[in-house]
Order: sequence, then C-alpha cells, then structure tokens
Amino acid sequence: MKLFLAKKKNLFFILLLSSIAILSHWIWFNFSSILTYGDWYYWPNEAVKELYYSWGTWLGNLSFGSVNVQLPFNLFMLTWSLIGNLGGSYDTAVKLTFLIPISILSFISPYILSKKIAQDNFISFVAALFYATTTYGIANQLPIQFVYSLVPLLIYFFISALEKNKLVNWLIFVLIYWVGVCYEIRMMYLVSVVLTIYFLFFGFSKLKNYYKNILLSLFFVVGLNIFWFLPIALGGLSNSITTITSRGLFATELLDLPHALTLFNWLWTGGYPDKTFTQQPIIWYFWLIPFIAFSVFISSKNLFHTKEKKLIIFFSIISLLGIFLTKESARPLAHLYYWLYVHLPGFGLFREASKFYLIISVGYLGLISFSLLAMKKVFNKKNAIIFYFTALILILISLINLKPLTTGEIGGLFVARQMPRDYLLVKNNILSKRQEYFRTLWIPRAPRWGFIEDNHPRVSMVDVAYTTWGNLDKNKISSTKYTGAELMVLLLKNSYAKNLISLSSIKYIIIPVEDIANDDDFFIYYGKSRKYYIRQLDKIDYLHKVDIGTKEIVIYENYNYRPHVYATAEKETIYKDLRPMIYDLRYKFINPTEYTFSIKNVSNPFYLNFSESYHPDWKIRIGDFNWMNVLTDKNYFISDKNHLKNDASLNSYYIDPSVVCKVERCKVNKDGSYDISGTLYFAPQSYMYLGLIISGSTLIFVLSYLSFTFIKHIYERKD
Amino acid sequence: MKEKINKFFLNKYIKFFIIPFLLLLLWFGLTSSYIIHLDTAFSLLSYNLPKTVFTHLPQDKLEKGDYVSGEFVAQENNLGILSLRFETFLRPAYQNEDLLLFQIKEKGFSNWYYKNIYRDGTIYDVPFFPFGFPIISNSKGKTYEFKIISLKGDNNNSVAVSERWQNIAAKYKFSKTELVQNKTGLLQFSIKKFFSSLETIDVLFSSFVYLLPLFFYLTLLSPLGKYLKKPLIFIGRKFFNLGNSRFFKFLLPSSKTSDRFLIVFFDGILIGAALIDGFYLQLGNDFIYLLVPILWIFVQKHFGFASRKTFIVGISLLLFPPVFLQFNLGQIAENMAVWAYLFLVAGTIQALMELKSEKQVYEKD
Repeated sequence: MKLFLAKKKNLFFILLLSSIAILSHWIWFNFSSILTYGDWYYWPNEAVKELYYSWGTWLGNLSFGSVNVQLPFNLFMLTWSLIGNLGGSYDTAVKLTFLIPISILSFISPYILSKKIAQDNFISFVAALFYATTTYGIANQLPIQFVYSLVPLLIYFFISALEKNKLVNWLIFVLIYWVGVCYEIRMMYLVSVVLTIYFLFFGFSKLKNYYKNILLSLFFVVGLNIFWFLPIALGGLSNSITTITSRGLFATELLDLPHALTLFNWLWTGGYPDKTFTQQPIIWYFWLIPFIAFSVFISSKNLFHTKEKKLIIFFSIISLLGIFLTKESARPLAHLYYWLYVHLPGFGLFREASKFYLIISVGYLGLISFSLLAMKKVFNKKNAIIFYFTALILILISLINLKPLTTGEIGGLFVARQMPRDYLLVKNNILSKRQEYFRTLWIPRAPRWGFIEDNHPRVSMVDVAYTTWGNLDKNKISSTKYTGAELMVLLLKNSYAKNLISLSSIKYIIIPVEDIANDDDFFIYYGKSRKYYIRQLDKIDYLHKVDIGTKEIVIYENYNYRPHVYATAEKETIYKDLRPMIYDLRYKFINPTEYTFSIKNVSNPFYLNFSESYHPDWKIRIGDFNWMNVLTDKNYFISDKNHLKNDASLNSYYIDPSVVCKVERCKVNKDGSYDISGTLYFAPQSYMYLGLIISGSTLIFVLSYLSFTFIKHIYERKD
Repeated sequence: MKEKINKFFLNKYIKFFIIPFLLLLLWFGLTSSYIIHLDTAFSLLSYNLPKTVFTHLPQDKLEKGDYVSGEFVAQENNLGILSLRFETFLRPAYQNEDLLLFQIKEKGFSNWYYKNIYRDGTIYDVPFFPFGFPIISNSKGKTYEFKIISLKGDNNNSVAVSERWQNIAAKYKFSKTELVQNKTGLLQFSIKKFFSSLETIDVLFSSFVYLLPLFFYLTLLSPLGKYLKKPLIFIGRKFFNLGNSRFFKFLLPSSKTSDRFLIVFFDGILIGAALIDGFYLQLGNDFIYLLVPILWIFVQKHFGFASRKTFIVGISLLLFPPVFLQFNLGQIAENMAVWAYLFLVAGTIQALMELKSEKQVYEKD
C-alpha cells in the first residue's frame, strides 16, 4: 500500500512537471506554427528531404560550399530527412527532434536525478523546476538546450551503471551519451568532465570492478562516434576545426563572477532578451540561489551519511568549477581562462564561456536538493515553515522565469512566424521550377526564408564581402572607410565584378524583405536602408531586373552565369571573360561530395573548373571510381599539382589528355582526340562512409543487445 | 614515506632557517613582481601624486562636457604616463561607451603637447588607467597641466574618478639598455623603485599579505611560536580581554581561553584583508586571492575548526553584492562576490579534507 502511494505521489509530480512544461512551452506543441529565430534558420522542406545524402563532409548548399564541421548532427539530420520524405514538414521535424523533447526532458530529467539523490518527491519537484527554468537553460540555441535537458538523465544513468555495474546499464548510458554527442559535442565535452569528476569520487577506488565494463563502454562510444571522428582525424577536416578554435575570445566583458554565481545569463531581462550585447543587471532575488544552494554546508555535520556528504562535496566542486569558468576573463585569476583556451586540448571550443553555465546548473541542482533535504530534516517537526518557505522562494523564482515564455514576451522561438508571400513566389517561380545548377546571391544577407537546395545554394553577400571577395581588392576597398552596405555595393560595381559573379555560378541577385514582422530586419546592421541597395543595383549594367510579381523583393538576373562544372582553354580568371569551351562537358550531381563528368573529343590540354570553394581535398579521378579505393590507393587521383585555386577562390584543374590518358583509361577517337570521363570527389567522404559502416554496425549491436535484454527481463518477470 | 617527510620537517636546520628563508624569499619575489606588474614594466618609475594636484575634480560621474583637470610638477625626466584611478558602474554596450579626451601640456604653453581619445570600456578592465603620451625627456622640475573631458557620457554610460586615496600617479620611462649597461645605476634604480613603490598603498597592502605566510609560520608552526604568541595573548588579555568576553565564549565555546584571542586575531587579519580589498582597494591581485584562502584553511585546520565556519563566512559575504548592486556600485559588488566565492572554495576544500580524515577532525562547536 505504502509503495503504491509512493508511486502515485511520484507520478503526480511527474505529471505536474509535464503539465508545467506543456503550458509554458505550449507553442512548441502546436504543429501548425512555424518557429524560427536568430541562428535557427528556416529550412525549406525540399532541402530537408535531401539531408540523408547532403549532410556529408562537404556542405554544398550554403555559399560556395564548405567543410562540414558538424558531422555528428547526422543523427537528427537523418531523422529530419526521414520525416520530410514521409510527408512531414521541417517544422514537424524540429518539434519532434528538438522542441518537444527539450520541453519535457528539461523538467523530467532533473526530477529523476534529484529523486535518485534526495529520495524525496517534493524536493525533487522543486529542484527540477529550478533546473528547467534557469536563465541559461530556459532559452538558448536548441542543440545546447537539448543537451542541457538531457544531462541530469545522463548522470542518473551513469550513477546507475556504477551502482549496478551490468553491461546493460553501461550500454544505456553509452547510447544516451552518444545522442548527446550528436546534438552538441562541445556541451558533451563539459559533461564528460563532470562525469570524470564523479567517477574519481565514487568509482576510482573500485576501478578493478569497473574496468571491464568501462573498456567495453569506451569501445562502443568510439564505435558509435567513429562516423564523424574518422573524417576529422584522418580525413584532414581537423584543419577546419583548428580555424574555428583559433579565434579570439568573445564576450569577455559580458561575463563575470556575480552573474556566474547567481546563474544569471547576461542577456536575461525577464522579458525580451538583450540583443545589444549589454550585460544586464542581476535581478536581486537571483542572489537567493547561491545562498540556498550553499546553505547545505551550514547544516549539522551529522545530518548526512558519508556517501551523501561525498555527493554534496561533488556538487559543490562542480558548481564552483562551473562558476570559475563561466566568469571567463573576469576576477579572480582573470588570465587563466585565456591560458586554458590556448593550451588545454579541447578548450579552444569555448571562445565564449556561457556554456559552462551547464556545469553550475547541474551543481546547483544537487546542492539545492540537499539543502532542501537538510532543511526538511532539521525543521521537520518544529519550524517546518522555513523549509516550505525556502521551497516556495525557489518555486516563485522558477515561475517568474517561466512567465515570458508563456506570454511570448521572450520572443525568439516562442513566437510563431509567418513566411512573407514574396519568398514563396521566389521559390515557386524562380527556384523550384529550374533544374539547372545556379546560386542566388542575397544582399546584404540571406533571410531566414531564403530558399536552398543542393542545386540552388544561397550566398549571403556579407559572408563573402569581408572574406574571399573582400580580400580581392583590399587596397582599393578598405572596409574601415565604408559602411557595410557601401562596401557590398562597391564590390558589385568593380571592374571584375561581372566575371566574379558569373564564374561563381550566380544567376540571381536578390534584395530581401525588411522583415520587421518576424523580428528579422537586418538592414539596420549594415548602415543603409533597403532602398539604397535597390538604387545602386539598378545602375549596374550586367544585372537585369526580373519581375515575378513580388511586392517587396527585388530580383536581378545575371545572364552570363557559368555552370557548376565547365571547361576553359585557359585558367579561369575574374580579370578576363573566358567563355566556356565548346567542348561537350556533361556532369552529374551524385551528392555534395561527388560529381561525375564526361568530356568528349578533347585533344588539347584544358582547365576543368568547379565552382565550389577551393579545398585541397577536392580531387579528380579519371576512369572508374570506387570510394573504398580512396582509402588504400595513394595515387588514386590525378596529381595535386594540377589542382589550382583560381582568382575567385574556386577550384580549377589542369588536365592534359595526352598525359592523363597514358595512366588512366580514356576512350581514343578516330581523329586522335579523347573522350574522358571521371569523378570529382571530396576525399574525406570515404572516411565518413567507412565510419558510417562501423557506427551503424555498433548501433545495431547495441540496440539488439538492449532489446534482447529487455525482452528477457519481461519474460523473467512474467515467470 | 610520511615518516621521511615528517623527519625532514623536524630537522632544526629546516625549521629555523630553510622554511623561514623560503617564505621570506616568497615575500620578496611576490612583492617585486607585483611592483613590476603595477608599473607594467621594470624600467618605469612611478610616483603617486597628492589629491591637491586636481584643479577641477567632479564628485559624480563624468557626463558629456564634464572634465577633470590638474597640474603637477614632474619629479623625474622621461615623463610618459599619467595614471588615473576610475570608479566604474554597470558596463555599457560597446557602441554606447563614453569617449574620454585626454590632453596634456607644459604649463604656460598655449597648445596641448598631446591629446588622444579613449573608449571608457577599457577602464572597466584597467581601473587605474594609464594615459600614455610621447616621452618628455627633460620633464624634471617642470609643471604640467592635464585635462580629461567626457565627450558623450550620460548617467548610464560613464565613469567617475575614484575617491580612493592615491588615485593619480605620474610615471617616468627609463631606457632599458641604459639601465642594463650601467650596473651601479641599475642597482640604484632598483632600490629607488622598490622603496618608492612601497609608498603606494596597493604595493604596501599586497606586500603585507605576502608576508603573512612567514608570520603565520613563525607564530603557529615554528619553535619560535611560543615566544611570538605570548605577547599576542598578553595584549589580548591586557587590553581587550577577548578570551573571557561573553561574546567570544558564545562564539568559540570549546576553545581554550588563551586560544580565543589568537583565533580571532588570525581570522581577523584574513577577513580584514578580504574586506579591505573588497570594499576599498579592489586590487584584483591574483596572489592575494590565492594566499588568503590557503592561509585561512591552514588557520582553521590548526585550530581544529570544521568547514562549516568557512561556509558561514562565505555565505555571509554573499549578502554584500546584491546590496551594492542596488546602489549601482558594481565594482565593489564584484569584489565582494569574488571573496565570497573564494571562501566557498576554501570551505569545499576543507570539507574534502574532513571527508578524508573524518575521525581526526572534530568540530569545536
């Protein structure tokens, strides 16, 4: 009877937390709403469907293509693609893989962990409410929020694995850990630190008992993650990651110790978050949080047994570690963060320290659970009001934090968006209808509704104006002299601009809508109004206005755009108009990392041009192609000496038929000319294919073992 | 192994000479390094200027058009920096930061010798802000006028000149190569620099904290301790009678009467150092941040106090930041939060130590 009542009470709090989650995040459960904001761009359904083959080592649908450093995302990208191909929309996919799991997990998973350590339903309810509503966890980038909501559950399964030490428990932990890695690897790096500290506290002394299962778990973790690890480690993608990790620190002036101690995100206002990068003042009642959390240490020494004391110290250590790192370059030891950023392996992923709020949140979750437990024990008979009053304070803080979500004041992903009609017109009349490859250039930048497909990538002018294109004429066009808008227009008016646009395969140049209704008016960031761009682009003679009935969007067409793959007699350059050769070059898109091509009747050397960003790993194979051979045959492709970077930072290959056809198989025609066929291939992809086979097999094994054990367990219970 | 270590420390030679010498070396090393750190370079000689140098000094924030001005006589040649200590408030967004126009000239000249505009955002990181200018080689004995004007400050985005003692200093830059070439000159310069720096309260305070490990060692651990403790206990009994006061009996019931004053004395030094730094000096000196908690743990362990006491201090210090933030005194609030944090860290380390040797530690209360 007692057990039944306890279970009922447990269920009551789980249901209560779920209800709070649904009520506060109600818009995330509305499948007819479109939710997009900030970095979380809207994806057209067409692009979502392509994801099962397009999320490889090279991303072709954005700008001029780039190395994909977010390969672990494949887990949910494949799920999105599946949902898209089954008829679901992008929004449905995001809701099923991110929004709904986040909203529910962020309340339930801390409840489960707190229940495990405090063994009290009400205390766990309060602690879970606190964790789910911290100013960091409540609204953030979705992958970060996903891991944030998953972490307490992961720690719970880690504790279970250590306690029971059975393979099945370790495998459940491994599987959840892997899911976390696929969603946000940086956050999981931090989680790994927390788990390591926990292990040092509770498992290290019994290492003999654990080492077999730990080694097996490590084996499975490696196996599951090898699909992204292999191309990075062996396929040369690590250079692209190094470029990201070697940037300077960010937000040093926004983070400090008081904000870290109080778990107060610098942009939190209690309503619409700050967007001006101004550190927001801490609301006074947030100071109660560290006060309550650390008050557990004031309680009598004999209140807890040794294991509980150990747990309290563990949570205190990770809280203090999290606070120390979250303050970034503020006092105390202000220079240590930068030192760690430069010297500690993996720390380069944290150029902005707010991610360490996760560690504080987990630490405070544990400390608050124990503080409340201590109060309950001390004030149980007399003065119970102190315990309930403290719990009430925490509940009130949580509810106040939840208010802007429920009302939508917080904006962002809590407000449904409406795609302006003009974008649909662009999609239906310009892009979807056309099968040929071309890019669209959006000035000043691509809006969140900007259409993408593998054969119609979009380019944001601002992305290239300060990098590849901006570097072409640095002496003449100084970015310090002009506003962003002026710089972009000057680049388009340059003497070589026409060739640059053409050989970049850009067919349409589009000026988007000033989208105030969707809180996405980016024109203000570049110093000029939308009209300025229209006035200036109207004056450019190689651009021709196209009218498809849009109200606001203005579209220009460039008649001379080049195909994605084409041949020229000379090396492609932006300073000379080299029309494609009359050679009959045909190419076929297989996926963003692989294209086949054939060219007929060539007798003289020529240049094969491929309008993707130059990368030394884009290779050409003449003749038959098999991805496996890339891993074993060092001379599988034509020599790298023939791979050139042209003026526009795109790929050109020098091909001399008389040389390549001596080594590789070409068809020799009667007139002595050659028919050449081959493959353009991004070599690291082979490592990903190999990794996918290993990871897939590991996943099948893990899932089969878990299913088998589960079924066995059910039968045993029945017996 | 433990025995070997214990034997090593029981050696009289080690106890009387080596450890005190090392701690003295620590004091000298840290003090010297702090002097160089404060002046940003060894070859700089720094002189504090009295508050009387200011001819115009607003008490409030520097808002648009407000200015600070003053004049001083250069004590050396090679004048190159004028440092002013500022008070900061809530940090504004980068685009809203105030611009401060700094100007300096020799008295009697109509044109400014040097002028430059600075964003006040940098002052949030370097409150004792050095306004640098081309070195004036023959500055000694001449009078210089300076003026700092706010160009766009308002109530939300501005700084104020700190009311702290020693809020202005003139710095003279000497040639490194000349100093290195002349060994006697280098020695004279070093001595001059060391002693002139000790006149600065920042250096004096830091140096005092750096000396505490030696003092604590001599008093509490070394064989000389009993001779040093005696006068302390005597002073405690004679003038304060703290050991027998009701308040301290309540606070430290199980401590010996003779120990009560010592406990209060050592705790007082360390908490005092934290409060002086937090409320007033706000040095942000990392070695002080490290030394005070280490010494605190040492003192608590020596007198057998549990981590609970440290947490009480830490949590009590947490009460200050929200109060100061209400009065827009962000800098003090941040410093007090730092000290609260350091005591919480010290408490956690103590708790960890207690866990390891639960049997040996007992709570005094």
